[in-house]
Amino acid sequence: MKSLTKPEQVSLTINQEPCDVVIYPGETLLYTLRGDALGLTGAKPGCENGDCGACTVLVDGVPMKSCMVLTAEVEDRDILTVEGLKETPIQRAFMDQQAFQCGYCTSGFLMVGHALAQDVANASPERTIEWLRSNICRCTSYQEIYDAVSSVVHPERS
Amino acid sequence: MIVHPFDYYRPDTLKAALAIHEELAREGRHPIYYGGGTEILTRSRLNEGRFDAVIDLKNIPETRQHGTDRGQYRFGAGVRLTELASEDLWPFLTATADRIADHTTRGQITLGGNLLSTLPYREAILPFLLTDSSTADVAGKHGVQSRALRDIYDQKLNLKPGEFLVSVTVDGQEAKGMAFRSYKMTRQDWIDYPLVTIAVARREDGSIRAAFSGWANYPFTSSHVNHILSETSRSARDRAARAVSSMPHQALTDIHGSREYREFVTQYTLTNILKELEASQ
Repeated sequence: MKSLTKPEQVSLTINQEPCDVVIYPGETLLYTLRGDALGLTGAKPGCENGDCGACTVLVDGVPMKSCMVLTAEVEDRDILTVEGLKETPIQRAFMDQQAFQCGYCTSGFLMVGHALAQDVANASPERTIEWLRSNICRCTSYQEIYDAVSSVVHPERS
Repeated sequence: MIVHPFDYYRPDTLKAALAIHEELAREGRHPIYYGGGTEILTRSRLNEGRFDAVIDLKNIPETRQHGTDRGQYRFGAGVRLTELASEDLWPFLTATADRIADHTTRGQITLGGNLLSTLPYREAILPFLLTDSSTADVAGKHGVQSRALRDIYDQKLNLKPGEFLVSVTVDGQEAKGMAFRSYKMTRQDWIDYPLVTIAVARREDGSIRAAFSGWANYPFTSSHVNHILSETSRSARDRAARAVSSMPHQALTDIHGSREYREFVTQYTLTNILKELEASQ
C-alpha cells in the first residue's frame, strides 16, 4: 500500500522526463507543477475550484484539472503540461486562428484541444463543444478557440 | 495549494482499505474514503469537512470493475463518469451521468464519489432508483455484502462507519427493457448544478417511473407520483401537472431558482418527456 504521511520525495514523469520532487501528502498537482522545484508555470491557477479549467494538464492522456488532483495520486503516471506541447499542431492552430486575447486560459484550452485531437478520431462539432465547455475564457474568444481546435481535429476542412 | 494537512493512503486490496480505516479510526483519527477527489479537494479548500487522512480506493481492482457479469451490469465505484459514457453499457446511466459537471471533471469524478457525494444532486443514482434489481456491493468487516439499493437508500446511501461502496449492479434484462429519457435543466448555463434533473423510464409493462434531482435536498422517486404518471388514459400535460402537485416534498427555493420556477420547469419538461416516450412506442 502506498502511503504518504509527511513531506516525502516522489517520482513523477512530466513531459516524458522523470523527475523527483518533495511533496506534502495534501498537495495538489497544480501546486507541485508551479512550485520552485519544477517551475512549470504553464498550468494557471484560476478558480482553484475545478470551474475554469486554466490549470488543465493531461494525465495518461486524459485532461484533468490539476487543482483537483493530488500529486500523490499521479505518481508513476504520464503527466503532460503545456510546456510539453512545443511544435504541436494545436499550438500552431491557436496562433493561426488568433485564439486568445489575454492568454490566461490558453494553456488549459490547448491541453483540452490536444487531448481531443489525440483521443477522438474525427470528433463531431458537438463533441468538440462538449470538451471545450470544460474551460472558461473570460475574454470570450470562444469562436476562435473552437476554430483552432476544429482545424486540428479536422485538418481536411481547414 | 496545499489543502489542510492530511495523510494519503492508496491500498491495493479491499482488506487493506478496511484495515487502514479501522486502524486510523482506532487511533482517534478521522479518515475518509477518496474516489475522484473533486468534492473533497474543493470543500477542503473552503475548510469544510473534517478529516485528517484520505484512503484512495481507485487502485483496488474490485472498484474498477465495469462490465456484464452473469446477466448483471456491474459498475465499479472507482469507474470514472467518462469511462461509463465511453463504454455505454447502460445508455440510461450514460445519459444521466454524462450531464454531471463538465467533460474534464467527469474524467475525474468516480461513480462512487457521485453516489456518495454530500451535495444534494448525486444524479447518477436516478436510473438505479427506477429499477427493482439494483444492488450495492458494500465492503465492511464481514467482507463484501450485496444489498438491495432500495433497502439502503433513504435520502442517501446509508453505509455503516468504516464501510465503502465497491460497485453497483443492475439486472441486464431489466435495464435493457426500459425506454428512458433523462434531462437536466439548468437555469442558464449548460454547465451548472441542476435546477432539476428528471430521469423517466417506461418499463416493459407500460408503467412509468420518474426520479428527480435538484427538486429537493436529495434525489428521490415516489410511488405515488409514478402511479400518476402511469395513468396513460390521461393526457401527458394533465399527468405532469398532477405529478408536480403530488410531489412528496415542496420544491426548493435557492440560488438556482424559486419554488415556482422549479415547478414550472419540471411540469413542462415532464410533459415533453411523457409525450416523447409515448410517441416512441
